Amino acid sequence: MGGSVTDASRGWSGSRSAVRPGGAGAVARPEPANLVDVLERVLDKGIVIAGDIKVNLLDIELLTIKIRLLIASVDRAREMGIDWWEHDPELSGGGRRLAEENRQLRSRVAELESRGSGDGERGGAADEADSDDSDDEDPGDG
Amino acid sequence: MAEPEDGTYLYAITRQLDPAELRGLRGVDGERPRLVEGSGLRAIVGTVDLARFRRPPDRDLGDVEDLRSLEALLRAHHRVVQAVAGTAAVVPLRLGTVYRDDGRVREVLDERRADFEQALSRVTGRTEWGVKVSATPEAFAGDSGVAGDARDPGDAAAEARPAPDAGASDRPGTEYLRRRREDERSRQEGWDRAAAFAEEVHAALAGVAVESRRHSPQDPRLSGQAGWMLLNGAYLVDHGREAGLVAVVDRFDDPDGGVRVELTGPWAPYSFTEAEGGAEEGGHR
Repeated sequence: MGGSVTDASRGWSGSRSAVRPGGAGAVARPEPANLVDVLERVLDKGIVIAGDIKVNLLDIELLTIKIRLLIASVDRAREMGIDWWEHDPELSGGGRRLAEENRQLRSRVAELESRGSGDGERGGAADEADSDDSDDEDPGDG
Repeated sequence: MAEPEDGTYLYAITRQLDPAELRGLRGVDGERPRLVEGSGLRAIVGTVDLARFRRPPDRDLGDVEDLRSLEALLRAHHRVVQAVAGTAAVVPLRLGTVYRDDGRVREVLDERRADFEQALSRVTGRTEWGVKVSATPEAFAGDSGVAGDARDPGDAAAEARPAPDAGASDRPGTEYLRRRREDERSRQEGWDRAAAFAEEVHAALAGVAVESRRHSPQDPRLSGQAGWMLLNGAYLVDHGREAGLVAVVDRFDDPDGGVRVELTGPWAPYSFTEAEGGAEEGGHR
């Protein structure tokens, strides 16, 4: 009764996909990775460096935020009955953080959306990303 | 209509890669991914139409079409990164990093070489795995701390229990409150057990891993999984130690008891690219 292994890769086979030697789940159904798993990594993780195309970064940030709101909405979680962390002393801090983060994200969405509509005609040459470096998280800051 | 203007989309950074590994792949704009070399590093890139990335998505995300095109974009990015990650240590870029041309990519490789080298060292010889733990609400209800001892389906704690002190029936208000309190206490205990279980699983997995992260639990409506998501972890595991990880997953997985421990991966090390020591619990930004 093993946990199921979902092969997240397209061409990632060979030795590592045989991690479950003789196990019940053996190697997984070759189904594509769960979309939510993919988007929480591709949109929210991965190294962040400033590209040249600023508008694009802005869009992606907005998308990221919206999707995180979709995923991590405290209100929705509560609605769904998955509010257990609020009652857990260990985790209630996390719940508050989440609520706080969501408040911040919502105001950021509003900000980006208003800016986005103002910038709707941006067009033209690729913009330098030097005026807004908020996305520029260096991988090694130490 | 202006001439299409090309840009260079960046997928991932690696040290060594046989260009043959990219054969047959298609990228985010349907292009054929290729390599840009510089400063002892190789960037996996694709030539894309800038207009596609510059156009703001003016539709709301609730729009099905919009989500579909976003999914296509995500999966295309992911496919390229995963294909490369299967054969070499890579640092995956977050979606949507676009430069004007290959020359700019070489500049970035040069400027950020130390960062990339450090990030590569961290993930070389290791793979990211995901483990999600979810449970039915009943799995941790009841008086036993053992997940396998799940009680009857349904609101086991309160409903299934016949009121023992039937004498209270002439005081319906008191009885109601008592049951409410009991129900609440029982749920509280269920939460406590569920949280403790998640901690236990995470600790066991982290013991096998070199590094670990806990992501926010996923909305069941998006993940398609019923029940509580108790743990959504990412674990960076040395090659050769995968069996240890699988053993932990198997040890805790208990579908009959309403507890599902799901292993996903292998993943390119998306969750282990941020600055060292940052965001132990993840997602604080």
